[in-house]
Amino acid sequence: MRRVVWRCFAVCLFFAAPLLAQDGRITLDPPAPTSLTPIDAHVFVLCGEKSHTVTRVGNVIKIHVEPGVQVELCDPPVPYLVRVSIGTLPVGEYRIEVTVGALDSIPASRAFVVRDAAQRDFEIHPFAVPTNPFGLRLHLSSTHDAEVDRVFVGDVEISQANLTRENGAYTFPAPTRGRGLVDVRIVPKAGDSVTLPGALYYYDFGAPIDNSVFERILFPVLFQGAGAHGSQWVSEAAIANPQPWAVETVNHVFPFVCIFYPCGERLDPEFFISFSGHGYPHGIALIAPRAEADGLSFSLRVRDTARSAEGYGTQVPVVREGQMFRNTDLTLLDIPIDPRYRTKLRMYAFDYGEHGAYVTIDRAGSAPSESFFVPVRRTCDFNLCEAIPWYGELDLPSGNVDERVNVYVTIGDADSPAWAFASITNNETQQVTIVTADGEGGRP
Amino acid sequence: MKIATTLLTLLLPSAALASQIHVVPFSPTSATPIEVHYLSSCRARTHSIARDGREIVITALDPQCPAVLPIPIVEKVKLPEVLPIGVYHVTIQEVGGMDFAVRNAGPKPFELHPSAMYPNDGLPVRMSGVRCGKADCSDVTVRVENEPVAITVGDDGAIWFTAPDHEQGLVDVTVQKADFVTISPGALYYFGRQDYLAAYEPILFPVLFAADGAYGSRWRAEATVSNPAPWTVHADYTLHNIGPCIQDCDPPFEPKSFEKFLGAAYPRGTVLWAPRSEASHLAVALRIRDVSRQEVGYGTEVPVVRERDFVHGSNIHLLDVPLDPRYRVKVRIYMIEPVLAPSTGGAVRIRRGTEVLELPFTLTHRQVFAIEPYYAEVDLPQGVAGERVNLDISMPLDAIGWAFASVTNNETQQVTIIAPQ
Repeated sequence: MRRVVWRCFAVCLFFAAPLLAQDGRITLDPPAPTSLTPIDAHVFVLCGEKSHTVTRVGNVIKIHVEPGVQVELCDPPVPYLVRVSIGTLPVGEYRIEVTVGALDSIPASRAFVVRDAAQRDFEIHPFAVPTNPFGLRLHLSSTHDAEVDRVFVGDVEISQANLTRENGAYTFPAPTRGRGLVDVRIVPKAGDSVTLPGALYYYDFGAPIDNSVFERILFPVLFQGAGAHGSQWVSEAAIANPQPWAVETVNHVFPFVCIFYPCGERLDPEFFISFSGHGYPHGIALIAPRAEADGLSFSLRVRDTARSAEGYGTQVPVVREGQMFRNTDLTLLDIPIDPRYRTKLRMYAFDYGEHGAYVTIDRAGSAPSESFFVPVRRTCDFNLCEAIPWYGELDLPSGNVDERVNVYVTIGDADSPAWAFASITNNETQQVTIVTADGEGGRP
Repeated sequence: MKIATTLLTLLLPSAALASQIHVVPFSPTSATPIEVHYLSSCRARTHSIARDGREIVITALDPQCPAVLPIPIVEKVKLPEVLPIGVYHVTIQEVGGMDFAVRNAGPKPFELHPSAMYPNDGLPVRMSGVRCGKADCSDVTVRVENEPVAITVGDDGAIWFTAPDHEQGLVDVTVQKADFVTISPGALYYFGRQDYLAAYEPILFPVLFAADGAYGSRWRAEATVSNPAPWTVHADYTLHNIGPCIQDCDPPFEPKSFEKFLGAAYPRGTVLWAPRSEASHLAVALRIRDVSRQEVGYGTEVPVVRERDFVHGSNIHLLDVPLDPRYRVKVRIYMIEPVLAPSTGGAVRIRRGTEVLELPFTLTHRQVFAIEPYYAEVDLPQGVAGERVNLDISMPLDAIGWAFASVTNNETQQVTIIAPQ
């Protein structure tokens, strides 16, 4: 009995630590809920689940999980995903609080935002605004070119002097506000006033990032340096914001000498920058507001500038969160392991840990498959850690001339967004071919 | 059956073109908000939406119609609620109507593959997630809409049954074990030709060809498709189908199979239509390679474009495209069904300093069936050494499109692909 109690205690501590440490231990499906979408919370517990209850008190959703009864059989403790249906919520800010068993004193929690999804006569952008906007202009447009008389952000009226009409839309500087969602009320010159509930989300740069508001867009390699056989590799990247409103990102990924804020985070309307990336050979994410991220465009190429006359390099995908893989092995088909080439597999995961990745190489025919354990690591300072993926790489063993293999990668625990690609580099010409992961079926 | 399927799907584009309405997403679930798109020449101030059970009626209010020259527009109407599982009919007053199915997004007591089929396809269906008490599962009864079906047990313990013929619609499947009954609502979807997009997902292979090119190059495309699942995937227009074909044109992707397709006759791309419940399981890859110089490199990956990668109703942006005279740059533009716009024209816009260069194109469809996408290509003019530009590609109204630029070195034939990101 004592053994059981100790094991339970140890398990609960083990369980509580990551819950306390990582907001990511509670994930949402969909990751950016709206007022129309039913919401599931994914809660990670150890040793299974006997039952769970959900209660909502105002904007706090309390989830209590009763762990599986056979804790003594739970060795080693394996994270178990409990799907908790929360249902549809109105526009607002919410907090999920999780308790497990009798340990009410060790809760896990995370905040999230439910955005308005109803069809409205007006739209305002961007959705995410820093609490000190420093001149960020909001863009208000009407589906019917309605003329606007007055605009209120919360209880702050925008002065007429600040309201500018450009190309059929209105722009005005975002007022300074405290953190949180705010309604915007528009009084048109003709017709009734219109309220856009929760139209803006003010965030604090110093506070933890709310993953329901922001998404990570992975630039898998941003570096420059010398390689084998006299090669000089450069990552050539570009970012554009073709939208008629500014987008404020949490960080930036291009070199920027900063004197005054914003320090590269603000992507003005029609913004475009091309740059040579450096400092992130293992990748970095641009953390951008989900509401605006789809409208941003990117480009990334790796190029051997020692042979720049021969080609323009190779495109490397910039990976949006929706293109990453969750809860499945990654599949990379038809990768050459020809001895005239060097083939490197690069693997990425967010919300993970130093757990490692498993790589299986399936050779054609009757040859047995090979498996490798690859450590994954990341190096980051406190502020940037959300943007830095856990990373591992593996040089695939050389095979026969023209031999090709299929590669399967297991990386990330439940709900961790993961991605991988292989680079195949000709030893003589340094030409690079990229093979990216595709398909969620895993290994046959 | 395959002939019937082929003949049915031959007519897909014309049917889709004839329709002026579609719902987005094309295969909505009980968790997805739904938007109805329709073609109009009048801009409504707002819309009223009334739902009575499975009937939804949308009425344009206070429509503003140009008196002289009507310019087609696409009206987008968000439904105010997520719909429960079922088949619905939406009517746009004075425009028309269409049926659509809302499938279950909630937890399922068991998985079925495939879960969508034509009414009399008679496909074998694999059921997983059911624990039998006996090895032959004789303690389990499977019913498709209350009708028991004969079952067999596979080597891996999964249950198999043949989908009975059924009229179009969503059908519940139940599993009874002793007195315990589990129901999966709307688990099987019997769809008709008009519902093709709801049941199948397009996967675009932008080039699949073998041809000789400039400067002695011999281009070969290499595509691979892997079906790692333990069930057969019955796709339409699989890459097996090269050239004219009457019967058994699209052999299915067998369980745990891996197939290569070397250069075929689709320089304008081809669309593989995979059942939505299976599409994400398939893994695909595509490379083009100049085999006359194969010792210098393994070629260039060309993205295989899944439905989520297409833009829908917005411009396509390609950044940092070189106009260097040492390279030739071709932009390839694709559009897939459904097509709402009466015109299939667009333009590639290039901003060079203060000058904007506009290169118009018209998307054409070479065949009458959906195996090829609508396609256009534009050769970019040469600029000065080192010059790079951004491309802003406008598409037809509400088009589901994609584009990429190929940048080919005139000497080495090295190809760089620039795809939208």
